[in-house]
Amino acid sequence: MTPIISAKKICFEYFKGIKVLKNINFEINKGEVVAIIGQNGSGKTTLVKHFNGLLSPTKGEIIVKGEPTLNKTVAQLSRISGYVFQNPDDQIFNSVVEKEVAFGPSNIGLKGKELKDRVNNALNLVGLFEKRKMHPLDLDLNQKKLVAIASMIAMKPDLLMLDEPTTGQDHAGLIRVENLINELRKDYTVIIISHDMNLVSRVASRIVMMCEGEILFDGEPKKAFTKNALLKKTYLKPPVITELAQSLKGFKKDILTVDEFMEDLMRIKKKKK
Amino acid sequence: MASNILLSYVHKDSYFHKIDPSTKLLITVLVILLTFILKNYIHIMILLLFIFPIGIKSKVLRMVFRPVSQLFLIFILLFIIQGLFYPLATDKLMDLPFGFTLWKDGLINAANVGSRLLVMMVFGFWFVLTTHPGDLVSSLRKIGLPNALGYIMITTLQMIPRIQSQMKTIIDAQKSRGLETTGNLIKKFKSYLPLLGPLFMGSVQQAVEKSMALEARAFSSDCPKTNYRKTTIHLKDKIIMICAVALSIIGVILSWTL
Repeated sequence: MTPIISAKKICFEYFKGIKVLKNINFEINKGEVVAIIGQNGSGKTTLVKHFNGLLSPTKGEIIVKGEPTLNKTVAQLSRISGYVFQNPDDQIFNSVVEKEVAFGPSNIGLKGKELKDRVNNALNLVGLFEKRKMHPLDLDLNQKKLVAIASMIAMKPDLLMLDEPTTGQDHAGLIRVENLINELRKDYTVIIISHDMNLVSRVASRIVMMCEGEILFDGEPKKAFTKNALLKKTYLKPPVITELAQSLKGFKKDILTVDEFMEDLMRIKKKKK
Repeated sequence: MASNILLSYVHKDSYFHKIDPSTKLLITVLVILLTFILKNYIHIMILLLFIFPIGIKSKVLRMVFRPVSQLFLIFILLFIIQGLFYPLATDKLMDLPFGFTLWKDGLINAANVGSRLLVMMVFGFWFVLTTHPGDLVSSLRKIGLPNALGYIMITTLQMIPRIQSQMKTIIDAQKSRGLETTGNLIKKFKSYLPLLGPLFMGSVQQAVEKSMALEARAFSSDCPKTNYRKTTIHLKDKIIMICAVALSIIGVILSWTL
């Protein structure tokens, strides 16, 4: 199976001499939910912007579904890889939520019933179907973010890239985003960029840790949060529950969820008896 | 990051970077006035020669001319349009095919306007490149510019690069949604329409937030204000100013009597 995206030894610099990405090799296959984590300025967004052609590497090449991106426009690539910007205010311009969501698919030539179906499906998925006639700017930040995500879902790309979907969200918003990602993983390949380790540990099937333009770790979440030296270097903090387990005697060090923690607790209790 | 046409302050260690902004402002204003007062384009072009020593001494000569070369097309258009369609034309230079006529006074008018534009641009760029906006405002305040106006000047200068980068983000966001921005002019124009909404909304929002942030830091308080960047008018500034005024007067007299 050809990977959806494959980046081969890419380097990138915004200014001559300042390397933002250094020799990155990265592949993503269908069905994966990859979380890219790392400090601000580690190159997460820069890397992801290569996948839909917003940036092109100064060295190396990006292959999207078997074809090099070199001569393709962002608009063409947007059918395959959909990138949702961090700030929804950068993209929302229509006066009705519905129309806003329809903008993307109509750009790629969809019309009539199919367009309508896609818009409705996307809005249903993010839970904003009831608000489809509202003005997008009357929505709160959380909902605006969901509109932005819906407008990308409606284009049905193979890969959805969500840039910090949970920044600035309240608890209810966090739960909604988490549920949404779990819903999306059934049909889409997903990349999320996030600083929320609790979310990442629960939804990601694979974690990529970035630091100063390099990928330092690429693998299962269970392994990611046991690498203490690496976490220290990248200034990342494991999820709260993992930290708790790691600080207690006898517990497994790779616990990611509360359920796992409880299971382990039972195991330890039984042992004692 | 600044785009090629819109210039902003570049820090260099030079004589003209250190003199008081009001001196440089006076020179620039005098030059602009002169472009209107001097008799014809030859005299205006002589004025242009002054940028070479000044530019070299300021270490920005090449930067001053870079945007000019980008606007080269405008100058060519100016000559074509004025040469062919000057409304007050009486002096025919030659007949062209398709019933067009090339007018001599049209070309002269184009030369006048063009040289005026060129000189103003070159000196304007020189001023912007060598003058830190903070210094400019602090020095203007000394002459009596109200605080609020000084602030407006600074923010306007800062806004240009900000709007440019915001525009880029917005374009990228719409491109990611399949908006094709290449193609013919009409298509291009159409594709830029969706971008204006977010840009405008964002700017208004930011202006409101900025004003609140300013008030939170006592912007409109009544007590006398100090400046972080200090500027002083030295003796050399006064000498330069007097020389500039004197030179200008001599220039005007020469231009109209010779």
